[in-house]
Amino acid sequence: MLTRDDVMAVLQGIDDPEMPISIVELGIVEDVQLDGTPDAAAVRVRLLPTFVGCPALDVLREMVEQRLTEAGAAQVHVEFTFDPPWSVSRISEAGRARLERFGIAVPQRGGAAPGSSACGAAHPPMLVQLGRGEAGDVAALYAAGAGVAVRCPVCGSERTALQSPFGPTRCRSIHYCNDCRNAFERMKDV
Amino acid sequence: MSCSASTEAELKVDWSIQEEPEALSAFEAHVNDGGLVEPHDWMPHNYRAGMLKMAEHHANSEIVGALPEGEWITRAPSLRRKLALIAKVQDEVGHGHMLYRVSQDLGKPRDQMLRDLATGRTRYHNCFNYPVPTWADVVMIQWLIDGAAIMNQKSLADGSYGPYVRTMMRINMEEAFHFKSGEDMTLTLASGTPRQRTMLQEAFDRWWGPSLMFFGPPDKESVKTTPFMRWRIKTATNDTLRQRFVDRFAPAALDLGLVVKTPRRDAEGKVIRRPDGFAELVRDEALAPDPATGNWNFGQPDWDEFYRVISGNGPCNRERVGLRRFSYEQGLWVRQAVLGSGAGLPPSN
Repeated sequence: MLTRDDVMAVLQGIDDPEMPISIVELGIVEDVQLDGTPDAAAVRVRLLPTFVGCPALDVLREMVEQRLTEAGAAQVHVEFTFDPPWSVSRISEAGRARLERFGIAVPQRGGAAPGSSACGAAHPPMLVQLGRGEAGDVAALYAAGAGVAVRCPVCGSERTALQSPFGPTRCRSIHYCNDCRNAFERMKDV
Repeated sequence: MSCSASTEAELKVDWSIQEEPEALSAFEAHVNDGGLVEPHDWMPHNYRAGMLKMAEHHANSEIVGALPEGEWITRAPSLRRKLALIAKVQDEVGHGHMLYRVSQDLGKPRDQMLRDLATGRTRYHNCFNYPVPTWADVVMIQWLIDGAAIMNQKSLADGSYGPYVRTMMRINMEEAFHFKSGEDMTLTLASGTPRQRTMLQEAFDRWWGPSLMFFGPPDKESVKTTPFMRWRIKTATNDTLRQRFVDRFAPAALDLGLVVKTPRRDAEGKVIRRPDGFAELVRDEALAPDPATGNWNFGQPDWDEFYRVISGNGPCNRERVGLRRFSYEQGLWVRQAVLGSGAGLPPSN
């Protein structure tokens, strides 16, 4: 008979399809419920997508269903919910460390920072800057607008600049370190 | 940074350049021990130039590869597939962005790279010069071409240039995700109606040859001893990677009930072509695992076609570069507004 701890151990062993971090460490496992007879557990898992329109949901559902069935669950029901909304504050310390080693910075806390727009990316006060008509570094504008020092996951420097609020995935932005000169990514501060 | 002509001239691979012997041997010892080269480190001119050429080509390929797939977003067969395709296109543009950043540090201004791409001065993966007439072609790109890209990029993640290797680790993980989804889409068509299976076979016929060509022309005798292999800019030769690809995909294609085809040749081995200039295809009778090595034997693609397409005369070269150029020109006012009037000159021929 599966216990809640068994289920959590199985989920801990499932990595996000696009990042080397367990779905438990990423904080997208909101709730696990077990019912059924003592011999045949029915497991209900509630998952929180990081972003609306995330393309990985089908793969996540399949992985969870498959691994829990292999572990002995008679029935697996995976449900996605946006309540409560996922936030980077749900990423565990171990998860943060794994993402940093992979070259993805993680903001310390979630929640909308001043200057953030609805899509989660911090935008610079572009219109004010445009009026000056001088050639500037757009990355510096972004960094100034974001108003937070982003630590480079490769060398630890805080002399970094936002390159693009849109990275390869919607939940990440692209940054650049002026010291070690590596391009890196950052989970958006949502 | 300015876009002076001298910058461009400085960054060409030039084997007549003599490096300082002590610096060169210390560099080679470091790379030979598995060490990474960082942007601030000393590096031979030809290492910088070769690495730049490769990273820029990779960045260009990500950007151009997104163009034919982008066209299919509005025509995806279901909401689920559409979502996945949008995300894939975003991935590729994001990869391009990171790779241009890596290339910039090797010494070529980004605007110059974008202009060179828009004016056809630099190249991208040849496979994107082929048309994508059906949804099954989108599926084949995501299965065969992404599969080939993974083979290639896995070898590049063992390379020696630190910023490129770190970027490649993240890119590879996302490519593996695309590939998984490509496999799923391939299975859907392969287990579908007779019409879907026909569509899949026809698209497979169009993409098998370009997939074999993806790894570049057959190795020359000297390939294993070139400095690019010694410096770990490349870690596997074209033929080695091509063989890995066939060993993985030939049995997978046969399992799906697909027929693997090769150009029809006359008695002297010359490729027989259709009126449109492309090879007539027949079942690849050589396709089987070699009893001695376990590697799959396979028929070579039409290499004349490869050279014809890569030199600018493929079915879609003009269309792809034209769209890049259109987008570059249309975005000019935005770059000027943000960066100032000196930035982002229109492409000049």
